[in-house]
Amino acid sequence: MDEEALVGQAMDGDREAFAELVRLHQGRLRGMAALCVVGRDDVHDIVQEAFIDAWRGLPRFEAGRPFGPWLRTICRNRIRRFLRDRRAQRSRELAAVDEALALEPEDDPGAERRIAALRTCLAGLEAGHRDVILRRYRDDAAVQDIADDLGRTPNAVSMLILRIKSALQRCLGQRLAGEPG
Amino acid sequence: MSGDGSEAGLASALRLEAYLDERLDAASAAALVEDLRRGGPMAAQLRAQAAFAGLLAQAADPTDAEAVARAVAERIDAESRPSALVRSVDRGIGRATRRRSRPARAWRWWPAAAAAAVFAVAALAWSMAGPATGPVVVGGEGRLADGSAASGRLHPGILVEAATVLRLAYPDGSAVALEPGARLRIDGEADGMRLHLEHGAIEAQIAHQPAGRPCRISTPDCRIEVVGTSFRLAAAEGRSELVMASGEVRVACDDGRSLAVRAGERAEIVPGRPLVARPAHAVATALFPDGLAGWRQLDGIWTIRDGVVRGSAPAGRSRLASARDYRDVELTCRMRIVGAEVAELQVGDYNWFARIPAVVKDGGWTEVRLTKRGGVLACTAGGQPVEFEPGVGQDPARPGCISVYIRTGSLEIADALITEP
Repeated sequence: MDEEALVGQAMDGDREAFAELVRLHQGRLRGMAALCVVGRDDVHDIVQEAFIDAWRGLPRFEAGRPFGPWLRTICRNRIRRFLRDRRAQRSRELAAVDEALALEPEDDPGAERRIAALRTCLAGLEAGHRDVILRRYRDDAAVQDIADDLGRTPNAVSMLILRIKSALQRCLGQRLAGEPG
Repeated sequence: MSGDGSEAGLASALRLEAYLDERLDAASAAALVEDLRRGGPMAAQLRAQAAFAGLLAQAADPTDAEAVARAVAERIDAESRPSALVRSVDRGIGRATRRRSRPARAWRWWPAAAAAAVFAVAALAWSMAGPATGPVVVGGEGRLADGSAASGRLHPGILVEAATVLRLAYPDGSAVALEPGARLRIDGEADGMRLHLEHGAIEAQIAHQPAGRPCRISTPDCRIEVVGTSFRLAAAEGRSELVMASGEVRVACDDGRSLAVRAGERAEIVPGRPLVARPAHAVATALFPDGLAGWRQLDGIWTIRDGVVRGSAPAGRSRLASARDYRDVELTCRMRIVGAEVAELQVGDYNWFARIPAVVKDGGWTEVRLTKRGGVLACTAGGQPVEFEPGVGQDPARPGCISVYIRTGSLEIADALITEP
């Protein structure tokens, strides 16, 4: 079924049609949010809220309009709202860097492909390095906790993470260029 | 990932890692800000590093598309179920339903057991009351126009006022709960269930009605036709509000305005204002969830201890303002004013303020409730209305910070909750 038909059915209240739209678009929204927000739980929340906003807004969606850009606009607003709300709760130091980074949500169609490629690169890491990255980015563990587990200093763990990320970045570049990573 | 490969680049990259780990000290923050503001390749590399961290977190995330779709579907399902009526019903059958205080993302669930209980109680009451028209009182207390207690069947033409949550049940399984103080007139049923809400609020779950015989519920401002749904309807002087939990209704006013309101939406009916349906997922959250973070201490000394925010100034004024703006909002709290006659609650960047009077009883604490919705401002203190006065006096609908202010003495705020539509 093409997307326009799915959208039409979702506008009629067909939840399974909307679920299919979620499956189709969730990767791109997650990529969009990930470029501004690191925490995966935060990205999940933003993307989920964006889809809920879209579901509620469907009765007023103009049939025939492209659905993806409309959805991404909603997601962009959710990202901005998250960043604004987070700013109010951050320490002065973190808020200063937030402001200097001046993150502005943008749609990046290539983000989803880069994430897929990174998964392959991640699987190719040696086990110890992969564990460090998964603890830090999948489990959202603090560097201090990882350092305690490894019996190292936080600075040493940060250096290790930087080196692993450099290797992943090289692997990513090679995969995107068509070479095996 | 190590910046430009130089020692300075490495140091900058490590500072960004500390930022991502949320353990940045002041000196590192200042240096990182300087690197970012300077621009150039190092700044670009730092931004790329920040973005890469997010992509890496997603690459490490095992959540697939199906899991995301399932989570969204569960949220949609939860929001389509009635929630508030559960509180009324459960109280009547001895179970408590607590409202979540953190920003909940789903309405409360309608337990199947509670629904079954409503039907069971209604069926029992009907079997005892015998065949006739009108709903039956199945719980709570209320009074009729002649002062007698509301009990048994309420025949058409009867006006009932609820003293506590008063629950009514119809033979088709429809249930209506009057909130304390609500006044409801039971009209005839010749061509469908008819109710008129004179004042106060009801929560209703209406069973699917026969074709051509919709349930019609009116307020002084509007009427709604219900074919099978659940909702909360409130009527106050010059204003009615409808919040839909499930199904869909059409709101119509005598001046020709009409609007379809669907599950998860809210509509406010005010003469002369356009009818608009908005999301109705507002949930009250604590105003000070993280101490005074997110608040600006503009004057005086502000502290928070044991959940009580306190502001004072040895000589002169105290003012605390939110760092963020609020558009439409409902705020409730308790306030205690010591050493002064009034405190001010200000909205919209000091454009409008309400003077909250100091009280002596109840240890000096007074309940304050403020609503700012679509430019309409309302405030009560101790249950008594408090007028809003213009500070700068610009458009009351404009978003802006919320602030509290006292010219002398001290001000304490406790149990502060805020709800945003």
